[in-house]
Amino acid sequence: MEKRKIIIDVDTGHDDAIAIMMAMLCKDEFDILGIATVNGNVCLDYTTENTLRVVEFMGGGVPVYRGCEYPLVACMYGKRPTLPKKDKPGEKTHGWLLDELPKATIAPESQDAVTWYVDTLMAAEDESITLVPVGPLTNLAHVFQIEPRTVKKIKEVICMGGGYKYGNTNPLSEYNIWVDPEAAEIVMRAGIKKFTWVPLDACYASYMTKDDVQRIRDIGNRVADAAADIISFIWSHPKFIGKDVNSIVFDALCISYMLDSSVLKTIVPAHCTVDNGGGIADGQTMFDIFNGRIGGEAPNCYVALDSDREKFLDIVCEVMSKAKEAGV
Amino acid sequence: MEKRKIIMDVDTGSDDAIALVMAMLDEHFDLLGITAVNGNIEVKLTTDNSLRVVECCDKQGEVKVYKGCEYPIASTLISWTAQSFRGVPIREGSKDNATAVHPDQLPLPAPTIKEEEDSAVVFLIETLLAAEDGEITLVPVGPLTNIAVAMRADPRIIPKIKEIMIMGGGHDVNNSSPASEFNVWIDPEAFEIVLQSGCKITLVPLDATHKCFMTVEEAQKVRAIGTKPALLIADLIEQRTTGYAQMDAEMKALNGAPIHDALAVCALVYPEVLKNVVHVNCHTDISRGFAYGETIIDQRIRVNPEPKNCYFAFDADKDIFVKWMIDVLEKDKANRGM
Repeated sequence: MEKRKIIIDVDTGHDDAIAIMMAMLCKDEFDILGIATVNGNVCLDYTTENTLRVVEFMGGGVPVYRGCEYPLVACMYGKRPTLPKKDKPGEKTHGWLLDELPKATIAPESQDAVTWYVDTLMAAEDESITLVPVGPLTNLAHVFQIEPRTVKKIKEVICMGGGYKYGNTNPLSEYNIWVDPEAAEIVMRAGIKKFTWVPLDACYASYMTKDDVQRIRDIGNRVADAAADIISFIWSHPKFIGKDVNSIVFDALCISYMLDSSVLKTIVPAHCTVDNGGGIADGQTMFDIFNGRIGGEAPNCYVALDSDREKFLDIVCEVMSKAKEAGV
Repeated sequence: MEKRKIIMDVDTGSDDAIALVMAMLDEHFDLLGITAVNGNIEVKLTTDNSLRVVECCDKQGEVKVYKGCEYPIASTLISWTAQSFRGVPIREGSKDNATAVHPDQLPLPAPTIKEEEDSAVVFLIETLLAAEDGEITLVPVGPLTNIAVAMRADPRIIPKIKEIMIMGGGHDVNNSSPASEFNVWIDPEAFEIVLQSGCKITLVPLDATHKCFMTVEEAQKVRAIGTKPALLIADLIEQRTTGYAQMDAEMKALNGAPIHDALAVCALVYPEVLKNVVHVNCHTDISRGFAYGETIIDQRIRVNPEPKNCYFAFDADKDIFVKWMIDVLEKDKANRGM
């Protein structure tokens, strides 16, 4: 089987970490050209350090590129006063590091992520590379602005972000998109041949319980142990102590989908636009899935409205159990 | 004489064309490249026109042209801004090639050379990263999309920049909206990114360029020089005069037109061409209201003033500008053995 060439774009991030681990374990399925980091869950310094920690923990060998430190424009209005999530010296309010893993001793590549994307895509065959952005779409928006010819090099995009029925940052918008709505709108307008959204609707359907995490831990290797620790962060998070919550491993669902596409259910074609009006719906992904209606626009993406929870857990466990034979 | 290394970022454009001619012919400059951007007209046309000007100056093979960003960063994404109503690119004045301030094609033969393969932004990043700190001067005379995107994609380029001489903005004089000058108005967010970059910045706004108009009589003097570049400049001054006369009664009375972009080039050789240059705190309105794209100068007299981030030229000396242009063209003529 020909390996799928992928680039993962991350704001690591607990769930990003699981996605990277899984991708790096599937050596027969994926040829990871590189991992680009971006401002998102935490500031760029932290997402980069966290990414390096995961890559090094997994045995290294995948280049990591530092991406954009700021959203395209959303920071400049005072619309996003708390971004990037950076600690002041002596404080620990926003930024956090993946303390489940040892500090990184490896460094990111010297080239920045955006120019690396442009170089890599321009040197590639048409429709040869799969992009898996699981953070804000800032890097990709810059890439398409700089070099629109990169678009035809992309085989498909599988993107964790947005929501049809749900939002998490505000009632209507999902965090990755809310951080940089203008970037998301640029990406939607870029004319990508196949773009699949893995929105909150699909992610929430594949929640993990404490029992599920125990099943991962029972696999009994260091990667599965670390993954179980990382997924369990939510049960010791001060915001959720004493509350009946499940852990959502958003970004890992994108990797699982590439391994077995039936893990996503109810995948429908849709026309997606991203609100960037600066009002209460800022960052909402508006999926027009009723394309028969008068005035409806032609679909520009697919959106997965549901997922198969059992299958997702099976895939995660199966991949995690490869760690020993992969020598990680 | 050590030459000043510059990169011209242009939306060619009639006055851009004159600025490019001067940047190529003035021996004070080592022109590292020309980056084209969406602005006066579509980027494919600004690129094509830039190539025409390169050939007009016989600099093909020596000066390379890169195609840059096709769209402003954010101003056209929002359905309710004036930018998106009018569509991009927005042209100044008539669309008729004969009377437009910026014709689709400059009155020059179609280029026989092509732009480089790399995108303008990649060229900017790679060239600046390979340079010494403070080595390269940027001369953007169109919307700042290319420069802003490059700065955000790789902030390590910022210390490499010696200074940025920008044609853009206006205080008392504006043109695209009551509050805004065209280059800023097309991409206000890009302008603000550059203003916040920490680079040494000089703004050559409409307040200065409107003092530096050239008349039809002066165009005749340029025409008399007789070289290809001189004829181009004379043609363009006349074209601009016709274009401006249609939309501006004051300009019609002058029987001439400002050559905005060339003033930024002149100011690098003769800083004294800019008069009343004030070190100011300046920011761009990016709130998308009536003042969207306004360059706002803090002139409050305060004990705790806002930090100053650029030099703003309120006036200019027309005589220095015209003399510079004619001197450079005469010298080029001598170099050609004419």
